[in-house]
Amino acid sequence: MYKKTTLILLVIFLVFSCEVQFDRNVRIETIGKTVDENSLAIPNVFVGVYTEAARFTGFYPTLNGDRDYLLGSNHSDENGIFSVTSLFDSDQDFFIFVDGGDLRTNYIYSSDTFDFEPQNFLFNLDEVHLKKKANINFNITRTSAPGTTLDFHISYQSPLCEEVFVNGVLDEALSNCNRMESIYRTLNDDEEQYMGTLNSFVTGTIQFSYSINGGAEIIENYVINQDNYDINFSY
Amino acid sequence: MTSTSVIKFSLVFFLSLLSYSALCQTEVIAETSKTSRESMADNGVKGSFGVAYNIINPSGDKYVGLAYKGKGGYNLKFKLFVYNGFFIGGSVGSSYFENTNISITGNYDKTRVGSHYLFLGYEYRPIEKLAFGINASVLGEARYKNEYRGGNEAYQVDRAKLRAFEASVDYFIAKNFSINISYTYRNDKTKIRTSSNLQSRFDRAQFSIIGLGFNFQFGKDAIISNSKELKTVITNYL
Repeated sequence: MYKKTTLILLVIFLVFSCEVQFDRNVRIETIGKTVDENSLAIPNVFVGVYTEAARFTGFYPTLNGDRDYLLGSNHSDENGIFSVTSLFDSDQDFFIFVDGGDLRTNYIYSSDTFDFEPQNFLFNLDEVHLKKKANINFNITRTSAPGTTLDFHISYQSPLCEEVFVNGVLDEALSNCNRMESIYRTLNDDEEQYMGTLNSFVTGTIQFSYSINGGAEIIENYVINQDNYDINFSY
Repeated sequence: MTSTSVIKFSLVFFLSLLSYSALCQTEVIAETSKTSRESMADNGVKGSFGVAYNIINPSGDKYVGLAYKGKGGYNLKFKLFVYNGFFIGGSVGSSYFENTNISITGNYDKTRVGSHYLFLGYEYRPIEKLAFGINASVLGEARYKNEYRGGNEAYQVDRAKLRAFEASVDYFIAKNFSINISYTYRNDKTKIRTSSNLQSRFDRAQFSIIGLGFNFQFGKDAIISNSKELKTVITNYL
């Protein structure tokens, strides 16, 4: 009985403690150019090629079971040009991460490589736009008489950018790049003012639409031109 | 048939040839020198086996030369003389490297190269105490196991067709025992597939090996030692 249990445990251990092995006899190259919101080169940007492999430790898959493995990395040169040599992994979660750091937006190129090998072992990202991050500081105050109601709607662009490619072709539906985010609010006697900071980027667009006391909707458009963009409004 | 099985087949074939000819040689010796009995080490087919510590030096403008640092290695070698100074042999061994530039190679820390190959060569022995030899690989494979940075739970493997050229000197400190110094140049043809830009960086793995070791010699005659014995062998065979 004891022997049998040991044997079963041993088999389980052998099955689950297996090492992760990346694709044999392959190196891939990722090329591109890092530029800012004005298409000017950004030097010294980190570009990493990753795969997310399912991990098993001992008998159980770990709680945060998947782990990112860096397969290769490099930095862009003074002209923003980068070329990353990396290993390759046939995996459902393979991605290339371009790190804009604290001041700029990031970019993620993700691709299911489980059954896909890039043509000529090359991922060409062309121009990767890393825009300057910006805060939109909204400040809405009431100057009118009590009883006035304001309905407003802010749409702005998210700084996140993940592009999903299927067999080398961009899939817009799966991607999430600078998607429009929205906020709806109603201000009245209970809540007279609104103050909020929204994350976006320089060159991002904002649409602010409002109506006072259920009147006609008024739309105002803005383009963010600095990293701290203030919008003050009173009703 | 893969090259690994070719090597295995060749080794088995080679060993059976050896045992067969050793059998014949005994008969020949029995006929020619009935009066004097010699020790086992001095009879039969001439050859040697040895072990060596290796100092590894990456070289050239390929990925190994650009990014790797040699961390030593070892190998086992054995050879048999076929005719006069000409010999055939086999080698198995491991070489270790540290990766010092992951932007050249992809992200991994260490590489272990397992090598096994058959070689052909020639030995010249001007005086009793010294032997000079050269040899070149004829069949062989190398397995480059690249261990992932920051742990050994992940790895990747590259394979290569092994190419080795070697020159060596043996200094005999006893009749059957020599100290050996060798220089081996490795120019392995890798099976790595990559982009056209990177092809020239990864098509070869080049490094050299300085071996320090010792060899044990055995036997007396080459497999085909002279025409007279060859005739006897043939006569016996028929």
